[in-house]
Amino acid sequence: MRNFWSLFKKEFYIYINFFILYAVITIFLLLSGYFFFTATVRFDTFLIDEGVSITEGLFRQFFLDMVHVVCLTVPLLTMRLFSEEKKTGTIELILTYPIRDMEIILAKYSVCLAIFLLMLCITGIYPFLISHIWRLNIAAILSGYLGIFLIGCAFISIGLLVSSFTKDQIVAAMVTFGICLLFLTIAFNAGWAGFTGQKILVHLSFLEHVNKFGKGVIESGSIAHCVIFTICFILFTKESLKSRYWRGLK
Amino acid sequence: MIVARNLTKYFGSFRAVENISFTVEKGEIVGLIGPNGSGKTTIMRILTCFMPPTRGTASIGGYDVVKDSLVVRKYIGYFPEGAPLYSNLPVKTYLKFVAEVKGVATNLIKKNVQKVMEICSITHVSNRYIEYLSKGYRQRVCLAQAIINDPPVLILDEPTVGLDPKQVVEVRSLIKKLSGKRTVILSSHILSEISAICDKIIIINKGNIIAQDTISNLSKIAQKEGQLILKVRNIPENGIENLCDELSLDIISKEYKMENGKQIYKYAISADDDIRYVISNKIITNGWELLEIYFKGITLEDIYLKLISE
Repeated sequence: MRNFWSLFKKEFYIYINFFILYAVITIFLLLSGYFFFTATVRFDTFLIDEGVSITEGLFRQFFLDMVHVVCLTVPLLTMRLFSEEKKTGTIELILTYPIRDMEIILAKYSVCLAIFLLMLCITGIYPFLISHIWRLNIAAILSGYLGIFLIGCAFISIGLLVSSFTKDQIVAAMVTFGICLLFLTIAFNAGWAGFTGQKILVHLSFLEHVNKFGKGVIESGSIAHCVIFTICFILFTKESLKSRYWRGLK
Repeated sequence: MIVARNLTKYFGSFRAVENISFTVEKGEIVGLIGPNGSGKTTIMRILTCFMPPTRGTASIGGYDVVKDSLVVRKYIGYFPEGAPLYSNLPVKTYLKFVAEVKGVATNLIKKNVQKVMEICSITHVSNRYIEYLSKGYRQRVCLAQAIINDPPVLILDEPTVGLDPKQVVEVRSLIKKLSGKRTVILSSHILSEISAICDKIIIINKGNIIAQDTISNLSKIAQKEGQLILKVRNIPENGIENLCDELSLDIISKEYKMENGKQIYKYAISADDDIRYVISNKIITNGWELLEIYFKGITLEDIYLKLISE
């Protein structure tokens, strides 16, 4: 635990001295704020008179938009995790300290997750402001945030794995973005896959899950999907670090 | 303290090192030397538990580098090639982090950090970010992190590479100071550096050990493989040849030239020892003219170059 905490502090210190972090937070808040604004205007202009609930008409749309913002910003957060260590050679140093590989992975993952959580918490100000005008279903909103958080967890684990493959941060960010986008939209036009295939693709699609969370529906299947996905990618990262055994420091 | 037995490492089909065996006793300073790509860094990475060998075993302080990896890592201080460091951290913060992960007791962390900063003369840059340090200071910080938990074994991979001559001298004397009771393995491709610091040399080429001995033994070989250079005048035909036969010496080369109308001969004789006195005495006794005689020993550098080109 002491190692984990030391690594966490070190990673956090490096992150707060990483100017891209502030750019990422700014982009995240600007985009999420803009999408919240557009969802609010749409709800207020068109949907409120049709008797659509605020959860369905505003927040579900907001969370569906938010997940795209997460897809865009998480790769920028995770791109340096292992790539920079590989580029500067510090990976050789840290992997020869008396620390387990998994402690390093979890510390890096946790710092990224903490920053992501912080960004997500700041967006809590939007429903807080709206609560002064309309009566909100807090449970449904928390469900939406839970969905975004779980998907964020999964996307961070993808970024973690990809950054362990390359020394180039730009490549890491681009590949992570591609994979996140794929898992987000994998169910688009899924009719080609047949009935069973379509069902599988729909279950794999994070967009489908966020749709449910956004409505206030928390399904154990959705939670399990995100959690298992995250654990798998963290374990893949461990295997990726082990690849130094047979390929050295490439 | 360090025992390597038949270490072999393959990366795919590429053989990095093969059947490397050596022993380093407690307190010894051993130099790994070889041309670039000879396998020095691979050996160090195996010893520091960065990666396991494909075959063979290595142990440090009796602990296997594969099975007891976490224990071995506490036993060693490692300086990787190029002194990689976290540029975004201040020196003191970084050293504190290393002390924590290397298991230094919480109440000793501050004291140890202060101590290593003093040893490595980096106290005055303790609050500076590593990215703003000169290369010499970065090397010092990297050495400081290696000794922060006072490990009995130091493994240093080309610690002076890329430094200017003044910094090289400073870092070398720092390493000498750090060695003390520690066991040190140092790699370099500069022989003068190894011979200035180490007690023993292991010469590696193309993944194999081609020689390992103490510096004094290698120096003796160098002395034995020297040549006696002789410049004489007014000698009878085959005079020097007969003298060499008498003393059981081999003539390596013979040169002849005219100077001021006189014949001058220059011989290079393979000599087992410095026998200038015996030869010069014989020449003078025979009434020949001795113009020059000196012993030309070969250097460690010559031995090294000879070994790696074989």
